[in-house]
Amino acid sequence: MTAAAAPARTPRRRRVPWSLRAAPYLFLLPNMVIFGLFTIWPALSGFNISLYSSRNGRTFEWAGTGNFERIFSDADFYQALFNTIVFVLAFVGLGVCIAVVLAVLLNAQGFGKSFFRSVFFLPVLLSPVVVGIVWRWLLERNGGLVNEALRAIGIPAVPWLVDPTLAMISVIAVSLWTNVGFYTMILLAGLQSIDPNLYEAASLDGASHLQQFRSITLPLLAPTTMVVLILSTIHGFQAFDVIYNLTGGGPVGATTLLVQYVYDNAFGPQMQYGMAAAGSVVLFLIVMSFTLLNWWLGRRAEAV
Amino acid sequence: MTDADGKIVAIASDLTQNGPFVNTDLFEKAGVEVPESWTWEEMVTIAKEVQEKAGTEFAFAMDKSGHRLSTILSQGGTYLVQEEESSLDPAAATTALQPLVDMINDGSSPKDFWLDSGTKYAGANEVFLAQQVPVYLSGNWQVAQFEANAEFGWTTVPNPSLSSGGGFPGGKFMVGFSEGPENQLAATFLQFMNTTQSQESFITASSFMPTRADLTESGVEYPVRNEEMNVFIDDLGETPEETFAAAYSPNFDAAAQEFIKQFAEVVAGNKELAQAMEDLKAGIDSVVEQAG
Repeated sequence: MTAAAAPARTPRRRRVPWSLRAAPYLFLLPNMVIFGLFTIWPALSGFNISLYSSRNGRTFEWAGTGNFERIFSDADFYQALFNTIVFVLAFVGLGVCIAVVLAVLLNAQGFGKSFFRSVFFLPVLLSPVVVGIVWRWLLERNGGLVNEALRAIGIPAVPWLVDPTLAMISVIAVSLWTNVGFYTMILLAGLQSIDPNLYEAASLDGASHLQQFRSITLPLLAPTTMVVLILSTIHGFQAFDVIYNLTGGGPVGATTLLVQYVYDNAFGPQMQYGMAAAGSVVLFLIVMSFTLLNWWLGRRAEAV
Repeated sequence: MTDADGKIVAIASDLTQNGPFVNTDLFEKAGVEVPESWTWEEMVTIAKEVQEKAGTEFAFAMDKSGHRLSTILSQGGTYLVQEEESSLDPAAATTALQPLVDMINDGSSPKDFWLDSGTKYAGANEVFLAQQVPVYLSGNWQVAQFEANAEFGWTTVPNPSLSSGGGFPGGKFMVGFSEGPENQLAATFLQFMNTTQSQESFITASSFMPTRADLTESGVEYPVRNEEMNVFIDDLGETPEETFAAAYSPNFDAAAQEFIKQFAEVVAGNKELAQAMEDLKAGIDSVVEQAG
């Protein structure tokens, strides 16, 4: 038997070579390492710290559930919790509605599409510190541009940032202004994946725009809307930077949310890292519950 | 600064003093003479007179800080803390702070200022620099800044007196770590920085005040605003010793923050001053207890 005649045993490889199987994980590895090192490990460490008490970040005394007991008996915590819930409900509720409307309008836009999309997305790119500071100037009771404009049409100065209720409204409004563009872009992408033939067929059947919106747009947009709901909920619970620069959490704690509560405990004059970590754990559990709830409701809706 | 055994753990390297600044141009415009000394009542009256006649937005401004508010407490004879102990007298505090609260409520002192930045520190120096107020209670660290930025005439006046006068101190300490790798070098540096010559160079350049006894006795010649700096130094003579035990207490910062919170409640109209001072005492008691 010559070498040439020897049957080349090329086994039809049904099994993928290990290097190919490993490739996806190898691609993920760098990101997972960074994620693990800078997100997972600190988070686990935070859970651990919440069981200790520390005034300087170096020496830790066992506190068990002591930190949690102190948090749950702290009036400031409940105020921050209440403020956060109010903020999240308003931010998510209004944010999603506004984003859907904007996305539909932008999708239908005839001319100047790119211009309008940029206009709505621009605030997302601004530094939250800059946003907070500039809006602070705009909303100042005496001399702020907003009140000056109102004065020109005869309305007396509104205490935007120093009345507790108005301050919360201002904070919600500014946060919406800053972020709605982001959710609009996501929904816009979702809208563009809806088959236009459906709309054509529907109008041939005599459906009005509103009926088309309710029966075609909304249901098919539902998965994207779910994503936006979850993102905005998480975002709402994390709100801190814009608010801290806009009102500092004032007046008298009226706009202090949970993240600022944690921050004040960690870096205030009475540094209490343990209590701050415990506050973070509570925040984590709350956000986790809301997210799971959102997701579960979404699953049920999809099943239906 | 010494520990429980009397061992020095930090060297006081410079001193600051709280006290009022006045806009002399506004006083002149109002035809009011800048006094050599004044009581709180006189200060409020004079400030309001200048406000009316010179047409400024406010009469009196102050930084939003428990440290600055403590100046007023001290003039009323009470202190937030003393060393490690809680020491506030709510009745004395109420009497001392009432004039300021009245000014905030009648609009002669900026009101939103106390409410629109949460518990963050806010300085009213911009209000003074914008010539919106003739009298501004702050401290000597503003001297260099005002010298550079003020486009009007200004000077300092001794603190107004209530039951007593004087201001409230602050300042910085230098610390070396005994277990550090270069502890000898650190010690030498600390020693060097606090010799008569070094301290004098440092404080004259930065408009701070001396901590060395020999400098305080011999007096210091400041290249910038010598007269004004010496008003602050002279006021040290009026300042009660208890203010130092308050300012340098390890619990002062936390107590000061409680102070701001309670005071903001009063400004917002949520509480009466007397109630706030009672709540403040309770708050400080718990701060001191937690500190252990």
